[in-house]
Amino acid sequence: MVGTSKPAPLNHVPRSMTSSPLRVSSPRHGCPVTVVTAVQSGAAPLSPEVTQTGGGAGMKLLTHNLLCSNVRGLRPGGGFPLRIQASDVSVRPVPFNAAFVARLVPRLRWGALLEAAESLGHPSELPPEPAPDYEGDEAFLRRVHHVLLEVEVLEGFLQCPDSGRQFPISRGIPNMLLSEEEA
Amino acid sequence: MKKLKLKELESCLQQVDTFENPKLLLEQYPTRPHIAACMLYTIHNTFDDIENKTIADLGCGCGMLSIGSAMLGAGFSVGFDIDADALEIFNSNIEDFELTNINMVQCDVCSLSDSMSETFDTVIMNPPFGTKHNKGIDMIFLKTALQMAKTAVYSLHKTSTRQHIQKKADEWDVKMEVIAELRYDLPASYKFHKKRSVDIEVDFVRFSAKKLLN
Repeated sequence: MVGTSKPAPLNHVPRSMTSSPLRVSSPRHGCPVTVVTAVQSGAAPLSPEVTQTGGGAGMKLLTHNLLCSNVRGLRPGGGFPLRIQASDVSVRPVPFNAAFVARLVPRLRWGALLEAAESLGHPSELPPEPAPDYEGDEAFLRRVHHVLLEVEVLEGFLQCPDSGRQFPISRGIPNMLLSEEEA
Repeated sequence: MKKLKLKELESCLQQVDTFENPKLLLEQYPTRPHIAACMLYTIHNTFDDIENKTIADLGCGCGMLSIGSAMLGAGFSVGFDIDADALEIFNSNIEDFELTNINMVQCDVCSLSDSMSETFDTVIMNPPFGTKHNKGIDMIFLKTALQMAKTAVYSLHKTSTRQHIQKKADEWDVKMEVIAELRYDLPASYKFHKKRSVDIEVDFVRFSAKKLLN
């Protein structure tokens, strides 16, 4: 990865970028979907064991690892980790990006990740702590990649550990909206 | 990874489906593909804050900025928005573009937990400006973004609020850099708009610090 770059002088970017003239948006009927070839993401070919779901991505465990309950009045740290009660879990292949996964490892809340994977019936086969030489261990990084990014929760609930409040997940989207009394 | 040209990025973003019935009170309008492309291109090429990074998109709407980030090699993006209808469109966009490294969360950004400190490398957002009985909402979005970001926050704010934001940034010990001045050609997306389009001057700003909030 490129080292830190100093901000380029402003002549790299137009000082005033006017947006293009008003265009009436029209439905996309008949427009072929643009396939972007330059991008790392994009569904890899499916292996027979893996179920591909329709619809957008379900909630990944990486997202779960970042989310805290937003219920008011919790004890410090009382909002994490949210307990997952899943009724629909699937696995979707995601292209493996070793550099990205290696960057993530030290920032993950490791215990919560392992626990979440177990609770979904997808035990991670990961050690209780990352080994010191994890960066060079591709097999390890692939296992991390799998639980973080390929296991998805489509339907279920996230439960706040302190308050017990349940947040529904539907079509892969957790709904953390609080009621007026709660907010 | 083949380098994506600005024109290519903009062209892809023109395929992003946007709000069918934008909600007035939420200040919903899509970030124009041209603006989104220029923003993201700069964030990526000048500052290297997208590729292999985790990105949060606050007030993501139909996902224009998240999708553009994915196209530029973001490691993982999460969009946050209050409106289920917008997220449904975002979800179908993700499916159409066959993107696998994007998630979304329905929530009120103003009520996000303040324990999500430095959970993302970069926050990229086009927040509501606070023009619809929600004055001050832009600053709440900004404060939340600064808590959540490890490295930088990229945001759009009305030029008329620049001084006020600069003051806040100083208070919060945050460095503020106006990267570009844009003129928003806001289409007449609401039925009551009398003019065909409304011109608003908008700053594209980068916030960073030796020390972000928390």
